[in-house]
Amino acid sequence: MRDARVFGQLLACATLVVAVLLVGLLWTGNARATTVVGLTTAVRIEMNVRRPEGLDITNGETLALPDNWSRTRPGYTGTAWYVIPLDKPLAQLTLPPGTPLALMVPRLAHEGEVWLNGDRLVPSDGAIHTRNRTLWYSVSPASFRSSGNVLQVRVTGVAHTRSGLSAMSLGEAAALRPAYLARWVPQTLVSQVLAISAALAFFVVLPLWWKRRERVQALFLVFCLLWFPRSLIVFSTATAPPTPLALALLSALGTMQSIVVAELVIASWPDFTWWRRFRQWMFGMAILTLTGTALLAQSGSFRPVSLVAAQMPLIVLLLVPLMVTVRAALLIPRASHVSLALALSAWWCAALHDFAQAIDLTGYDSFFWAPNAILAVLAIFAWRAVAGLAQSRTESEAATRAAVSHAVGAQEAHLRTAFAAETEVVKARVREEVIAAERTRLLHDLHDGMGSQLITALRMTRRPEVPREDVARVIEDALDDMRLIIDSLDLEERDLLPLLGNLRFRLEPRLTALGVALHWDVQALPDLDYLTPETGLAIVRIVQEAITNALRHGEAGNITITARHEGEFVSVSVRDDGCGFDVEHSVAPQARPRGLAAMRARALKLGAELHIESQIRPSPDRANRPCGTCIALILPLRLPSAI
Amino acid sequence: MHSSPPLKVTLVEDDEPIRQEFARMVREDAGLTLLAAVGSCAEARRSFALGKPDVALIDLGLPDGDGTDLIRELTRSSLSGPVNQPSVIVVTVFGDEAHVVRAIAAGAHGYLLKDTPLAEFSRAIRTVRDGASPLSPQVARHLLKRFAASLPPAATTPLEALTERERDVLRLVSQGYSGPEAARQMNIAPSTVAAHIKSIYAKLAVHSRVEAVNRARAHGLL
Repeated sequence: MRDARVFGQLLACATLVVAVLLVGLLWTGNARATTVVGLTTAVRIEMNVRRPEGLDITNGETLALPDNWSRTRPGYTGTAWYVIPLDKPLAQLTLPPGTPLALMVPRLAHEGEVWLNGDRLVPSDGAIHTRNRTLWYSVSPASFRSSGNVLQVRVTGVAHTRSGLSAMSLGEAAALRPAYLARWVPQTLVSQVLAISAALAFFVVLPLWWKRRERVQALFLVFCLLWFPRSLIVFSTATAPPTPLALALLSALGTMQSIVVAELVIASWPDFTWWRRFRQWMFGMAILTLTGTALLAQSGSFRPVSLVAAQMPLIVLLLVPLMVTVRAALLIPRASHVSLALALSAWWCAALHDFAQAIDLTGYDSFFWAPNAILAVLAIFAWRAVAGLAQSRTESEAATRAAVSHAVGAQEAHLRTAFAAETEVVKARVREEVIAAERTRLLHDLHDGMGSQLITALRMTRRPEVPREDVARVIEDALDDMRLIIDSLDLEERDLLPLLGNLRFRLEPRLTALGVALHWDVQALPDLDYLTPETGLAIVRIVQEAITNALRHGEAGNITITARHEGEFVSVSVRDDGCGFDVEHSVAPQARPRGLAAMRARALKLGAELHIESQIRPSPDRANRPCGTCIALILPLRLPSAI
Repeated sequence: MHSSPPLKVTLVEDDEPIRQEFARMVREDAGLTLLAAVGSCAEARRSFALGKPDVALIDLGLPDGDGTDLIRELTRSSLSGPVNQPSVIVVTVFGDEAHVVRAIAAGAHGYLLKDTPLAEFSRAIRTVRDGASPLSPQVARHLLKRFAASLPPAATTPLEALTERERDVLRLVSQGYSGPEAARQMNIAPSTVAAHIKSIYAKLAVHSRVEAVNRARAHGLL
């Protein structure tokens, strides 16, 4: 869409530039250079001879050019010679000798010749016929005599065409050239360009229409198609004057082109409410015009002005689409609208001008303007046909995008729902797994400590000989273990110290009551990345067991708990100053601390090491060493399996 | 030693044997008098309406409501100022972080384990009454984290934020050091550590109220 707009703006600019150029050329053409003289008087001799020899000037009639036969010799068909003495005009020319000279004849009848001093001049483009063409003759300075120079022009005219001779110009070729070009471009070149453009546009738009079958493109194809017979007619009647049939055909083609252009406008603004009525009028008028043209062609004898006059009602009717276009351009001043309005306005003015030319209201020199305006109309409709394609492609792309995004959205929603359901399933499964794992762990924890302690307590209560204090102690152990379990559940980080601290915090009142001093010798510890409620519980159970052992079997007065970070390890040791025991060879079962095997098993399961050192008191052979027990738990910072 | 008048104690505990055990322990202690021993929130409210105790021992899980509601009412309704405010002691089985922190946030001044022996009982009550609240390492750890993370610094007022010394106390206690040990390491008196802990408890209560207000604001309730 954006490309189409840019293209339109470029096209509008190009049209403007061409228009300015044309106006400029026409203007410069009108400005006569001092090096050019106009040949405005001639002697007309009506002699039906092919060569200028023996022309008798005395039989002639002196008249001013341009000579329009429809004014001066109405209904005349035949040959006339114009003799123009050149000595006086040549004397007016002040040119250096040897300057290339040229003669420009803006308009001749449909056939004619130009002779200089008895020699025929050949037009620069070499064409035979002269109809509707500006003629350019290069004149060699050598062709002139010292005096008695004369220009002779043969004009062969036909009554129903515009015949006669326009005023001519003679002078320096370079000075005459712009005036010639200013006529040649709009009069000759544009018609040829138009024929070629119509053919090109037809073959460009044909595949587009084949693909998309759009009304605008179909109409445009018809518009171009109508140009083929027109070109054929125009270029085929090269030498002979156009027959009445050819003229009628051209007129009919013009009518049809007008209808197609009107239809193109209707297709551009289909919302206009009057179109239906307008169409009825337009087609009615077109049928009348075509019928009238056919009747005129049938009659065989008619003046061309009748054909043009027959077109007039239709041309007036075409003011409606023109006004709609202009209104649209005023309301929405887009390049495409404005350029179309300008082109259609130009076309309509050209049609008016050409009608005026047909009824001889314009000068004899004038030529048809319509091809120029039609070229602009053609270019703009060609652009609209292509731009319409671009727009529809953009629209179809947008539609495709919308469809794709809709499909993607639907798929996404579907996937989301499916994913949410799947997530719920996974969450539920994970929840179940977590609950199962936690249940297993809790069962294991309870089984290991508190459960067996409670069973022991229950059995003890059923044996009357067991002192109540022993039962209370076992129950107290069970409660302690339960607190450890609870504390380990509160573990949120991988810092062991608060867990050990809590153990101390719980045991301290009891130790105080027993008169045992607990020394807390710790430093901040790095995180143990495998510290979970489970491993945390195992660690504090080992430490608690060590403390309990010191209290119950070691008769300790002081217990020191040390926690140190040493390289890749953390050591937690419980040292007492109790009686100690023989680690290797403890024979007496009661002297051997209970739960030592359980502590080792727990340490092993953790991936830690348990070092037990004990010094029995009294010891004669090692008297210099302090007595007591030290149980050290060496914990790695990371478990090998976790690396 | 007990020159001051005996402390009036109210027990709020739904477990009959424990309540009776506690009531017995209060009666047996010369420094304590039992004001009431009740088993539900409703009874507790009636009892508090009749007379405020010096110390209230409150269980959290009561049949007709949560003990934290009672704590909140008791610690905030007091118009007589902090001096005559009842000391609220939460009774728990485990003294675990989850229960204790919830109680402190509601305004409790300390906690007491249900299996506390007779010898310890009155001492623990008096310790709390004197302002030396017990603080376990794990609770300290939790408080450190909570004060550090939950409120953006800009929103914290001195009333809610911990001082550097209070942080030090929490850090040392979380490493397992006792109150006196922490005092030694910080070169301050043990009573100062106790004062810090009491202040931390009070700030947690304020803090949790601010948090509640913020949460309510965030949810558009205020």
